[in-house]
Amino acid sequence: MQAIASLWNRSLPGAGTRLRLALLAATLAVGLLALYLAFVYAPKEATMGHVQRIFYFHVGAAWTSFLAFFVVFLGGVAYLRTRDRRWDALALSSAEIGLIFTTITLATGSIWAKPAWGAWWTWDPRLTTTTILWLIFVAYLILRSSIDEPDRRARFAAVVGIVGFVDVPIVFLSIRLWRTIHPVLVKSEGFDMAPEMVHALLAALLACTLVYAYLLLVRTSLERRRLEVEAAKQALGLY
Amino acid sequence: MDNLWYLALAYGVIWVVLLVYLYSIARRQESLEQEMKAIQEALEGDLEAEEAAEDVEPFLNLVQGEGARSAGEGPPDG
Repeated sequence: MQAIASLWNRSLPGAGTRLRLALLAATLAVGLLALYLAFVYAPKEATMGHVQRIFYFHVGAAWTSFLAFFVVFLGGVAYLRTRDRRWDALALSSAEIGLIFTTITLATGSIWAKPAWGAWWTWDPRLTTTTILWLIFVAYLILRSSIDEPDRRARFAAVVGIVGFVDVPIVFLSIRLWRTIHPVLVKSEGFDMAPEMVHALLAALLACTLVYAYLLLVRTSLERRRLEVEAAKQALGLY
Repeated sequence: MDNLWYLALAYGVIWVVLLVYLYSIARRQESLEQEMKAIQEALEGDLEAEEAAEDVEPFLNLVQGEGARSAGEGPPDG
């Protein structure tokens, strides 16, 4: 009974709420700045016109999905080493957010492709490898939901998360390894665009990273709460 | 080639996806809080029952003791 009471008393900490609010404020400020830079400050692209402005947050979302899946990889490795379920909670939260950003990447890329290439979709190496990445992490979440035993679920998910991350460098290098129609952003000489566009891109990258950090904080807090409820139920003999 | 419709669609998709995800997190949080509240209420109910049992216990012992005595002191049958 005491164990359950202590679990109940350990509600969400005040420091976490302050951090969350500070991060939300920073995310909104940088997000608005990034939108201003993308829509007003950056010049109109000569060939594609205004539709090129999709690119800033499309690249931001792609970068953030790579970061999210790297955190899944780290969480998986840390879980297998320590068997601490907090690492598993971090990996799960990051995988979910990574999937959201991959969805945004694929959707915005497809919307950009229609006016630029004349088709919503093409089986280009970059698009194909990104779709595979999306499917890997959909499978990761399906696998998690299909295993009831928590330790077994965490162990299997860690392995899938680590193996799944292998696709991230393949996605990144796909435009260099294979023949592709996808634009190459960074060349050996640096960014292949006007300096104002580079500023807008960097702001979008930072804004997306902050959105990821905020969502990760909120999602891990939810997962921590779920673990508390699970522990309370187990202690009460409800499982 | 100013396809503003595509630009609006792309940014609309970004907002919708993020807002739907935030909404799903809020729903799950709410559901967990309700579950935790139910657990707390069940726990408080158990504690109240335990306390009530502790309060009643001396009287029960007394009644049971008297019952046993009166049964022992009663007139023998036959």
